[in-house]
Amino acid sequence: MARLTFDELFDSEFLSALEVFDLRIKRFIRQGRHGEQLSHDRGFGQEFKDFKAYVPGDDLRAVNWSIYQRLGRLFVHVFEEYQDLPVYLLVDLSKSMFLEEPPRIVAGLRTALALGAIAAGQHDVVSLFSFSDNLEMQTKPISSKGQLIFLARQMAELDELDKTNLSDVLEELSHQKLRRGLLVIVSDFFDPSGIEAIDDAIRKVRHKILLMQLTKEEDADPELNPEIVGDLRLVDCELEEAIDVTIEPQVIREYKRIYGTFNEALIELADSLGSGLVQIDCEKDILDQLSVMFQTRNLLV
Amino acid sequence: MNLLNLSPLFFGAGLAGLAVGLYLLQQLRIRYTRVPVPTTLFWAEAVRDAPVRVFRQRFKHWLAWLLAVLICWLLWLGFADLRTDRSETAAFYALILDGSAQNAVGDDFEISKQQLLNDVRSYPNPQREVYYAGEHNLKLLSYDEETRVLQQRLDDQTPVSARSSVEDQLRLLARDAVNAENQVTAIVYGRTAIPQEVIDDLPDNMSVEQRLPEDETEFSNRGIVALGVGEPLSGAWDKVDVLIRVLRTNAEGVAAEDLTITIGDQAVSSGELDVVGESDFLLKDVVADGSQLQVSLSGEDDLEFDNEASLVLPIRTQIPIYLGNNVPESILPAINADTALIVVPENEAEVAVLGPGDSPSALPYFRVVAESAQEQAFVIGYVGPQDVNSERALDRTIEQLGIEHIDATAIAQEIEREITVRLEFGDQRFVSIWQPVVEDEFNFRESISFPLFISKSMRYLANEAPWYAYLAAGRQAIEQSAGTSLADTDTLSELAVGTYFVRNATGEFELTDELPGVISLLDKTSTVRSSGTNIGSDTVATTSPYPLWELITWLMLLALALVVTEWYIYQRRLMP
Repeated sequence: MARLTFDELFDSEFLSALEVFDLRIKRFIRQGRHGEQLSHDRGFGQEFKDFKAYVPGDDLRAVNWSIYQRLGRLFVHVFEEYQDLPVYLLVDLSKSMFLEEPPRIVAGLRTALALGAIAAGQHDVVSLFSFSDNLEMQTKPISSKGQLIFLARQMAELDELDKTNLSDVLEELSHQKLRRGLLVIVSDFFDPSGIEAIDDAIRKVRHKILLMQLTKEEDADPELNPEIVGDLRLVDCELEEAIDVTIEPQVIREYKRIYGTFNEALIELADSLGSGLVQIDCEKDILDQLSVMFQTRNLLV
Repeated sequence: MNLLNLSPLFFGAGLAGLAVGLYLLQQLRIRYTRVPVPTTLFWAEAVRDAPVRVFRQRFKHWLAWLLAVLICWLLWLGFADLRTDRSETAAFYALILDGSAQNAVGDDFEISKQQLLNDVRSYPNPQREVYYAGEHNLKLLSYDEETRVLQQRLDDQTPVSARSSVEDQLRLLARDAVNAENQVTAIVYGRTAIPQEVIDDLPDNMSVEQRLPEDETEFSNRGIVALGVGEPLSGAWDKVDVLIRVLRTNAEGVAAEDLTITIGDQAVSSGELDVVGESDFLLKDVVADGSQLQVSLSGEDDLEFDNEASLVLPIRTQIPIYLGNNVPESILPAINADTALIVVPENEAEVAVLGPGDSPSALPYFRVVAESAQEQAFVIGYVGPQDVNSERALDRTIEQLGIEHIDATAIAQEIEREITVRLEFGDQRFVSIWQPVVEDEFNFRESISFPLFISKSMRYLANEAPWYAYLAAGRQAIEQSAGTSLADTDTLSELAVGTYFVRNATGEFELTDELPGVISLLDKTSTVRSSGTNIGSDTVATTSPYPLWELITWLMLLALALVVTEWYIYQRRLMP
């Protein structure tokens, strides 16, 4: 499939909606963030945490002169200091993301951009990674909303890659010396090596994890796809492997059961990691789906 | 029940073949449709216990097979053309459309035509033929022609003012059926009354049915069924009496005022008509000058063709004859008694009558000669084509002269010589006889045949124009004179000497170059519609010709229902 243009990915309607979406979301995220972390350092933030005895080198501005009047000893204020949260957007560019109409990659990149917009709005550092069977980093991170368009243009430059190998990619990512942050994996998770391999690899990653699963209704119910009728030779777009299937009721029932098991395994994985799993329907409005997630507090960034 | 297009064996074989064929097809490996998908992970696992069909796999889709077999069987049954008993495969059906005047009332003809069109489809092509019985019998559709061409051919046919030729067609069919091994059924579409003798003469393997047009209205008609001329009661040689007969059915009686008669351009007053009985009218002493006499019946009724009739009056003028000096006295009474003859000087005469010793004449002559002058007792000079069949001409001339009425045996015994007749071809007419034949001592002169012989000989020699008492469509016409033969055999078919069969349709034609003729309908059965001679009308007319059609329609509807069922089941994914 040819690379999608910027306008195909992020048309003006979506970008306008993204502006509103950002403002709408802010009132929810004040109540807490999924990747929220405190610095181990105590510094000169806005919120008072404790007093400590003055030692040379402490900022004299932090000295509590009232205590000194009462006790004759120097104490300084200790404030909590928040650090910015690195957000790593890891977007699947394997062939399966580009196959159907509309391709899942559109929903995937829009999801990533929406989350990036929220993060950048809080001055978090947003980095974009892509993967199929290898990890690729896309230029430099952004940390403000003003740079969001830069992020979008980076996304528009992304090309279709090869087959999915998320476990190897996570393995590779775990060896990267990145600041601890929030890793958002945007993918269909159709990894030939299976959920077990992902499970093993993802536990080596030090970051908080958020799984964004890109789905279509026909994934769960293939009968919704008008092409899935009769005797078929189904060709895996990534592996180029074919499998002959006679569509019959018992085959459909078995497929649904297996797909259900796959989803359950993915949810269990997210639970075991203490992370979130968000299922995005690629054929519905992305921002609407995310809004609902935030409003119901099913999603915190 | 019969299958028209297929033999039972072939039909059964087809049913079995379809079932087996579909059974085998279900086991054949099918061609897969290639569909790219994001992943085959789940499908691979799903079909692990449900392998796809291979080239030959276990038969398992009973429902799909059963539906397909049923649909195919129904279509096969439709193709086989299931019919009822009357479509027996060995039978032959002759469908005859009546195009005569008998079927020309109201919409009868159109109804019959439509009935035939509906029925003909229910017979297999090789076992049916369609005939049109109008003025002539036409074969509209042969056994090797497709039924669809019939419609156009029927469009060209309309009922004609003609006597029905259905009877003739039935006779032709009966003649052919005698040598046929199969059953022949003639189905007549129309009201033609079929004579009982025709039915009786049918061979055992032939039957006739009749489909009457379904007409609720009562037939009401008046029509001229006879128009003819005859010798006048007054005895006048140059006049004739004209008889007109009018019959009616479900209509008011006919008065003389209802008849309009014209002779040439002259109208005849109804007051001149003598009413004879309930239905006959007599017009007396009409001058026989060759004019056309036309009779019209006023008032509206159901059949127009019998409201007019015409005939050509004969031309009857006296024959001027010349009598030679030696004419035997024995023949003079016969000449004098014949009012058609008038004795004139030789230069004014048309015929010369000569005796032994009279000098020959350039005129056609009647001559009495000595027994030694000719070998035969009668020698007749005949003017005609050189290639004419002499024996036929002789018979004809003998009939014209009335010689057949002579007791030749008795004469031969008396004169002890054989009495023979010889025809001599030449350019002059003459009749030459032995003198002893006309002498008083023989009984011929005393017989009633003698004046007839003299009279007819004179007319033969004068070449008197022939005339007919009447000319009715499809009826025999008997020549009323001793004149020449009728040369125009295109319009009159000779059946026997002096007897002609008049063509079926009415209208004018030329008997000879100078003598016109008019044929009128004069058909009693057309006018009064004798229902007693219709056969099988009750049973056949009420028999629907479409039980077969209905059956096929239901077969197709059932097949359609099965297709819909299959589609529904397929949509529900209950079968592949």
